[in-house]
Amino acid sequence: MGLELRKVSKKFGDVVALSDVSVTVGTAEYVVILGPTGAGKTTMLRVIAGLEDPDSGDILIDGKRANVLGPEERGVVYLSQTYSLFPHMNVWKNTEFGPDVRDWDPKDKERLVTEMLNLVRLQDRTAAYPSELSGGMRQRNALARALSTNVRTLLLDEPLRALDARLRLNLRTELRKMSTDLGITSLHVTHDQEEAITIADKIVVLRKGEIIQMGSPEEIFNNPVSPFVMHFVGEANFFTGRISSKENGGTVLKCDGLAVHARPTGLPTGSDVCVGIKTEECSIHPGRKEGENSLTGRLERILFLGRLTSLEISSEYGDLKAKIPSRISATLKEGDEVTLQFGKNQAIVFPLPEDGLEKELEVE
Amino acid sequence: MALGKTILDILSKRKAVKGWYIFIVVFFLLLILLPTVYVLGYVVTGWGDISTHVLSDTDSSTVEWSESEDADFLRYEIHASTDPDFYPDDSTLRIVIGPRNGEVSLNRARTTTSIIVSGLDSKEDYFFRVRVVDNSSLGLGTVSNGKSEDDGNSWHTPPPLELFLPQNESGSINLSWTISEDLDFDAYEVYYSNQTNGFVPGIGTLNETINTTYQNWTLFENLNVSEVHYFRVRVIDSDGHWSESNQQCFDFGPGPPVDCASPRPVTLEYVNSQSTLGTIVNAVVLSFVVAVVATLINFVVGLPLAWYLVRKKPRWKDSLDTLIDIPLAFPTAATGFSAALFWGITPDIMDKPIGALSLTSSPTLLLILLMVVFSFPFMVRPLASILEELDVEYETVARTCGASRFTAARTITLPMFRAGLATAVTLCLAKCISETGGVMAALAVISSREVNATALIGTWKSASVFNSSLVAGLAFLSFLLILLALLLIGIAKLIIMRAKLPIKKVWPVFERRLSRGWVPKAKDVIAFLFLILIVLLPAFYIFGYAAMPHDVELADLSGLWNSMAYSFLVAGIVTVIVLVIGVPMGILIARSKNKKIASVLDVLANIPFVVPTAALGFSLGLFWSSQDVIPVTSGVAIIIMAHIAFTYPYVVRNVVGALQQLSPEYEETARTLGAKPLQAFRRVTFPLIKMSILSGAIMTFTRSLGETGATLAVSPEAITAPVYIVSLIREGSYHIAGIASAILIVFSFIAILLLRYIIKRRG
Repeated sequence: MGLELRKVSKKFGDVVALSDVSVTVGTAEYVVILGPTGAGKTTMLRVIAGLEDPDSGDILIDGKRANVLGPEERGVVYLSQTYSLFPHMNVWKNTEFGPDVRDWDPKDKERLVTEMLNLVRLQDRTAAYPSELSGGMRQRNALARALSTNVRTLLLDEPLRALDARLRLNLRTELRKMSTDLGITSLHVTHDQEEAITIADKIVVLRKGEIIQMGSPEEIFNNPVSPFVMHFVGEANFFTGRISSKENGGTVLKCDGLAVHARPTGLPTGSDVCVGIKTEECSIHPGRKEGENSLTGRLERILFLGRLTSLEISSEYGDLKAKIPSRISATLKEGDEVTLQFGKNQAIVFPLPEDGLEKELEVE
Repeated sequence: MALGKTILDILSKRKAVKGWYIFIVVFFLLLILLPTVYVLGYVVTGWGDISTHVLSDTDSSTVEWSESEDADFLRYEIHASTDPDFYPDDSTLRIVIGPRNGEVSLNRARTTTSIIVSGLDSKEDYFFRVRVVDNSSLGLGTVSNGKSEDDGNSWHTPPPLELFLPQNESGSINLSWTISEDLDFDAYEVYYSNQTNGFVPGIGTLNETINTTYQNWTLFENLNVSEVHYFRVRVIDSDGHWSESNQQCFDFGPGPPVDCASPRPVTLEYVNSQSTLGTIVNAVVLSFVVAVVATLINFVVGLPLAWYLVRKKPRWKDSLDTLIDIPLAFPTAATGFSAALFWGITPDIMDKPIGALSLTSSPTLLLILLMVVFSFPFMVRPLASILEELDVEYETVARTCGASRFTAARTITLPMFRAGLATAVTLCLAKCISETGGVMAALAVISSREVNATALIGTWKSASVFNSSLVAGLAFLSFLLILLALLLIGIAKLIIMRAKLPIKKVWPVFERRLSRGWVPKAKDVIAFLFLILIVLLPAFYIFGYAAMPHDVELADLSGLWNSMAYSFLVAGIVTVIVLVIGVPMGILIARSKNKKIASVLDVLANIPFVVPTAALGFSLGLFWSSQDVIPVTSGVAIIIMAHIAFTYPYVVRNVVGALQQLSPEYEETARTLGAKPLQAFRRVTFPLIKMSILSGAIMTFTRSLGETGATLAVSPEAITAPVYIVSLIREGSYHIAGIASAILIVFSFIAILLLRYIIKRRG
């Protein structure tokens, strides 16, 4: 039993940062909290760390209610976005900080600090001050400082944000490996869906202070519970319409005259719905092509992304996007007539959001 | 070690921390803020007194006389009457300075040579005499010359005479006196009596009239050898006005001579008739005119200097920084003396070292020049620090868009530092309005009778022991000063923050010309010359004066050592207490989760900043003497409380400023890493804001060391070093004052360096 939030709410003035949030994190589990800016991710970490008091709800650490404990009594280390390495201490003193304030035996201290600095490969820079370290080294120093407290739970607030793209990729796998090896429970906050999917055991999607979906990366990616999740975790095309009939193993929708064949749904016939298709799941064919789930339009823009290419198509049912392997798109050029197709099982049906689709998809 | 750890543990408990903060806030509200503004409430309850003594149609006169040098001096008696020929008696007695018969003598009575006589009928003309009484002259004392309210132009008496000890020559008594120097001389009248208790000269005792100025002696023959014989001499001028000599007597007996000589007469020097309200208004106007003009001058010159310091980053920036801060480290009484010697026409000091300009005897001009010195760092520092914060990028962008250097500075940078300018102007005005010691020293040096508001508080407070109706005037003056200071600073801030700057229009050709060639260079040169000639030279001039050969012996400086010990003790205690209660307040304001309370506390904590210290001191004195919950009777304790009140904002401001710059994440991270609140502060936050705390502490120490106004207004009996220097100057001991000033400056510097070293090493 690692960590649990029970119906935690927190407001700042009129702004709701967390609303009835309940999450369970198992020991040594790596949980990523994913959400757009302002979703309440950082607040969630700060409440767990004891840096903010929740307005209501309980925080349980190892099964015990921790609301009344000070940050130093929770055995939880919070790593801020900027790492907050103490600027007046060198690498060694920073790493030694936790053992120091606990007044541990000097011999144990030295052994532990050496071990941790070896682990993060900073053993040669012990005398350097934070201002003399590169971004990656700072991140590793902050990690060593956190680990040397013998901490069981790490709260990482966008730990990779300040790093350049290449380093970010390397460090995220390293981070993941280290916490698995040491058996540490981790809560990692990010707004980068790719980062979340690659390293998480479990993803918690947070929006406007509420948990939208919780589950394994596969679940989140393949079975999003709302258009928002679907769009946020990879781009998608959406249509709104009404369920016209249900067939075995599928649903037929009427969307502005277009018939869309989609996955089965529990919603009754006649309900207003929207349907989403991930851009990666769409295929493109040159010229006009008839058939189930086929939309013909003009290719407006080609955006080369490397291995994939993004295409923007204007059709009579609206603007559409598709991401296809670059080797296939090589024959296409802007202005061509193309047909976009998708399989029945890629089209996911959601009840039409109350505030409309556009509002639902807003990130901010 | 173990004990320290236990204390640390206890202090780290949430409840303990909370309790400590509550204590800090309550301490501030009840013992700093409330006493600081107590006088405002007093004005409401004591309005009756104020309207009687200050606002009503009664007249008051300032009377000044020469100090008595009599060895067994007892008291002065101030007499006033509407009858020009009055002889001082109980019915004309207005004020007694010193003990009446049988009371214990007061130290300060003899040196109090000026007092306000209030409650006079404004429709009448009054005539004054001062009687000086010693312990042995049988209560009769000696009457001074007389003056009328209109400064003696139409009615005055000859200077008083001194009667010498009678000589017994071959059986007759030879009486002699000083020759009258009165141009209007008419006659000497010699009075004689053999009454046992001395006598009041009158028709029955007139013995002889002499009409020759140079015949300053007479002979008495055939006196009864078994009696004691008493003598006095009057000098009469052609208008028939008289002045009297002291009394002498002669005793033929075999035993020791009867001691019946009365003190040498004092000279009544000055009488003016200005209402109490008029005096207050004049003083307040002088204070505010000086403050506003000095602030404007400092802005005009301080801005280019701050600009130069920040943007050009000269190699000798550090030295320049130190030079600019020098007026902060100099006790103002010493600087005031120094600058007054340099600028002023000094009637009593002729032997000045070369370099003195001796330009002016106008108190207004001299005070403006003085305030420019005192407040210069208060203008340059905030301007420089806000310029430092402003990103130079904006200006660069403006210049790449084609703006000349001057245009870019004027239209882009200038509008962005309103906040810094508001701080600078606030500090500058507050400093100018508050300053007391330097003003008193300078005004004494040029023998000016005009005073500003704070000097008036100092003078009246010490006189209020003898004329208790002055308390109403003091209260009203303090009230007015506090109110107007808050008002002026509020208006200045409003103007700076709201005024529309002329930034829309651009004159490219003209401004380009201003940006190149000799104009910017001339601007820098003028700023430097100003710093050196107007700020530093007058401040350092004292060393030249102190180094001149004087006939001062080390023993003459014993008063200085005592007063310095007193000052350093007070400043040390004040610094420690202010750190202990000010740092947590700063933390509370900067880190409190409740922003509303924090911002209210922030405003409140800054109030003592803008309350003129003399008014603050008076208010504090009133507060402590009006309550009996906490029995504080010792003057030192109240002086320490007063010094805490006006230095408190320095530490709080610095801590708040530093913490607002510092991300709270450091502290939070430390907490989640397992540090208790106190540990997190001690190991992480404190080292990061140490330099700000240090500068707050140094500021506190030097301000306390140099403060005169608050000290005088609390207790005129407390002789701190600056008070001592002011009193030396006022009594004309210029040489000792010069040496004492130089020594005090040197010691302040050493103390600051030491403080810096100690705090640096401990962190």
